[in-house]
Amino acid sequence: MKTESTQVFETLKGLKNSGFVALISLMAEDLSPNTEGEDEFLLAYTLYNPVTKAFQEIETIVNSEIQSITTLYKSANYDEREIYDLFGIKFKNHPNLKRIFLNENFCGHPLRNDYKTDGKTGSEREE
Amino acid sequence: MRNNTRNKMTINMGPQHPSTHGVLRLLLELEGEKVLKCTPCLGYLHRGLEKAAQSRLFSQYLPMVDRVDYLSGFFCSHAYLSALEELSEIELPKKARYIRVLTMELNRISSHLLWFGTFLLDLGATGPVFFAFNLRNEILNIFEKLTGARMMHNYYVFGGVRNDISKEILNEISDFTSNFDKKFKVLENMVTKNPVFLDRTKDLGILNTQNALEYSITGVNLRASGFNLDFRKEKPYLIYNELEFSSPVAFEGDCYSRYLLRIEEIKISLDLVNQCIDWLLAHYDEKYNLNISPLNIKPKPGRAASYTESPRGLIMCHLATDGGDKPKRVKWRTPSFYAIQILEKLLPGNTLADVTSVFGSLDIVVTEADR
Repeated sequence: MKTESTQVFETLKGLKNSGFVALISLMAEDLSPNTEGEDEFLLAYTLYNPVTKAFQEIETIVNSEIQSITTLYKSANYDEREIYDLFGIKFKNHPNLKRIFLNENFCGHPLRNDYKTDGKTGSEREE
Repeated sequence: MRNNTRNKMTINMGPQHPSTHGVLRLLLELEGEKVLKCTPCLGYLHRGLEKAAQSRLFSQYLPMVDRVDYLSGFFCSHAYLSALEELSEIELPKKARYIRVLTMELNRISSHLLWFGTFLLDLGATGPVFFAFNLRNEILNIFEKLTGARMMHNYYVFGGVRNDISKEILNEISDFTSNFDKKFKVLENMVTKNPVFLDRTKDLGILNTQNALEYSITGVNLRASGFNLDFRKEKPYLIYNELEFSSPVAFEGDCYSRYLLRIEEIKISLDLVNQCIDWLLAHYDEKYNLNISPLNIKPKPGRAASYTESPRGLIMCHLATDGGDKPKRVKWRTPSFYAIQILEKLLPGNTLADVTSVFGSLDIVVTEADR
């Protein structure tokens, strides 16, 4: 199911109320540059309903910012930190949006398409 | 480091604490012996496995996949390959499916045995770890004969497994399974009803069903909290829909029930191994040859996700391709990543000595969380 990035929070809220209480996984992929040369990321949320045993995938396209869903799904806390760390997507209203794997003074976000692997370590890099 | 408030103290547990099964740092805020807050710090074992995938051919990435979780390499290999095989629309031969299930279930036993040893070592019992490692050694010897490696097997290849299994190895496995119960009984008798062990695990670290689902906990940890979700039954892959097995559930959600369920799972895996051996012996004359070149992998563009029930829970491998010869994006959804997150919820209120009990009972492997 595809959704607008501004509608994700409301869509997931509705799905959670209808029984999809578990967020099984949250996956991001860099699609940039898009046809207009802008940054574009795909986010795929996989939900699970323990009563009907159904799975539901929600896809959305994000430019740089999206509403955090930590208030709905507690497991999203680390998922969103991971995506922020590796892709640099900002999650609004996240309680603790810090890097999770990489060092705090690491520059850049390694899974972005525009990240250059030029032999420099993350902290030698300039923003 | 002392905080300004009286009697409050912040300490680091790890990164090199022996009970942290890998390199993980827990930042604990204590008041006396009581834990007030726990903040796990990840990333000490981050090897960039997802980034590394993007610069390698599909077949070049395969040996690295075993390293996602070094204790259950077969599961990771299968997760990656089944996503790849789905995108390439390849059907596995039946014999290859049975060999994959046989090796995976043996791997599950070896992983649980290591967990058994180290969990008790965490609690201060130094004896069982030697017995458990002895038993695990027998499985690793079988793996060595079959695949040439004891831990990082690189045995599964695109479209099947690297080589057929011989009668000699099958007989060795059935010897192992028939003697296993007797040997394992010694271990169980030492631990399961031990009053000290009961004191340190019963009614501790209770995880209820709602929290377990909200924190995306899977595998034994979820089943110990009273919800039956086993991806071998939920989304049957390979030949699990042809095999007979149950997935037991417990309702207490404490460390002790997680322990009991893992012990139970060893026995179920043993039974699954026996079923696979019976089939493989009956179909021994069907020769298995790998007829797909691993260098000739051409998946169609698209995205696929595979579901694999590993010893620690659900391993998901998201794979995105653009029609080229390298993966565009590989994402690992690993169970320990979420099990570490739940420590923030489970540890506050317990004593410092209970941290190792709770941590050990969740069966966390940090390589898998850090990737």
